[in-house]
Amino acid sequence: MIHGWHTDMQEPITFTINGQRLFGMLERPIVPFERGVIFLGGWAGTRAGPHQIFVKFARQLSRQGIASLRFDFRGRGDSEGETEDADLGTMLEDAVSAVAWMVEQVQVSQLTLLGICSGSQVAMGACCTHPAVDSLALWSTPSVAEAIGQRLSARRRRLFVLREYLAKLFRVQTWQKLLSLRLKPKTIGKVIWSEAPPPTTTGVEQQCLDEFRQFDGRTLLVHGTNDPETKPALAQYLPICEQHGIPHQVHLVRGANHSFYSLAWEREVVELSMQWMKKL
Amino acid sequence: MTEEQVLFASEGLTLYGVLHRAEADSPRPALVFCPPFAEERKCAHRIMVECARVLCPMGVDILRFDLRGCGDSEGEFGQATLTRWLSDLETAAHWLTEHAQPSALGLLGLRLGASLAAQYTEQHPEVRWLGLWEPVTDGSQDWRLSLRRQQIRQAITQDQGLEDSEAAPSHERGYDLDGYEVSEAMRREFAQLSLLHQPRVFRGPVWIAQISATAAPHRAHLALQQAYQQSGASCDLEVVVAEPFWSLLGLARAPELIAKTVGAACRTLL
Repeated sequence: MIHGWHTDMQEPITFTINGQRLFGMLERPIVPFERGVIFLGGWAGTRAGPHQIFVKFARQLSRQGIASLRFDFRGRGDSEGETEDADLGTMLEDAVSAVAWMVEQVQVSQLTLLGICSGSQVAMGACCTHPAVDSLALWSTPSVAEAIGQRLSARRRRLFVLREYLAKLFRVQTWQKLLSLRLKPKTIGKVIWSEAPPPTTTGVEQQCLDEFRQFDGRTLLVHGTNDPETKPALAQYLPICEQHGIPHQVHLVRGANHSFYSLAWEREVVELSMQWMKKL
Repeated sequence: MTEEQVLFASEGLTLYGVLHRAEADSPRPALVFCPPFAEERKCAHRIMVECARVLCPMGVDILRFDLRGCGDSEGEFGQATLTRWLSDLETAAHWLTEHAQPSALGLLGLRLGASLAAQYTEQHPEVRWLGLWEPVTDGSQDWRLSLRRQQIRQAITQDQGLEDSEAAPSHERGYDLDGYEVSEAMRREFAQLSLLHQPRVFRGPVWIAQISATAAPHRAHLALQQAYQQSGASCDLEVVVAEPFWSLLGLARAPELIAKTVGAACRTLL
């Protein structure tokens, strides 16, 4: 057994919250560094991120002299805790612990929180919990139906998908696919019902937004133009940035879906985020 | 039960794993988990973790690990091939045997991981138990289905967002499977993968779990069961009616699959 091992850059770590161990991977550059990045995965994701985008980005960051921590939230990935016990509130607690761990154990003085989907909501919620956090990279942040609750958001998204299917019914290509048995009703059903957002606590979502309003660090917002969440998310977050003087940059990845499921989209997201971080 | 992060070298690359150690008396059996392909690994990860956490306290040491280019292991996905992954599995099994000194070794895999485990056991008759979760029996067909699923997903999500929408750009080298670079060498090996075209050699107990929406056994699984039985192996096929959790975006549970797997593994290994 190899204890406390690490490769040139990569070092598996654990930290504990409420008696439960969280498993993570630290990328420590071989050159002296001040900045660190904490990756925050989505609701059902792992520390690798969709199509391992976090792993690829973390390794690039390390080569650029930036440390990073990828970890699994409680009840996710390798971490301890029951799957069903995790919610946005526990994710937020875990993120706050991860920030403290990075500052104390890795001695970084500047921190960027990088989240995707629910992870970017968590990044907002944790942005003011430590002075070292000076920037946020928010990928595909879902909008929050403030004061109305998250169920409306789920319903809105589902209605959106249903409306799109109805529109497709009027296209010749759809009927060609249908007649040649190339359409799978079960798959379509899954898409419709899997679009629902996680069962989060509206109070925590509101808390995340309120924290974000207090933030004065740099913020990068990245969205795909094919993500149905993009329009409502930008409609919500851009006014917040402008009203509260949060220095921000928006980048739209043309044609990309919610999790940037192609190599070209992934490359674009990673490259632009890297360029943005180099300027911090 | 304890869980430790471990690493070991495979052909110069560092592979990452988690070793679940049972508290039962030594020597005790051990099991290697073989993960599935590409994004299926992400979707199925938690189910495999949960299965390990139920099985391990029964007295079985378990190694879960990432193949090269996957998860936290070193290497590029685009440079991996099935041959190299088989070599990684070989290394993982060897590492576990050396470190845990098990009384018996078993293998459990999901989808492509199951197919790799089945290939491994063809050369390793000493393996005491082989568990196959929805194995890929015909790589060529599975590859086509993966591409078709990707196309459907793209067609469905196209034009959903802002006005200027376009399809995913094509990838200049190899194949772009949902953000994973798949080399031509990998695709070729995948297409040639077949568990049915050659007689099986492995004679140890085999347990096949079909995970599907209906209770009727699939022809391919029945054929695989028959192939093992013809080789003299005892081979059980169980159908678990459940969602294909390896392709779901959201959280999934598979309590029945885990319970049946633990039962089947314990019956043979303990």
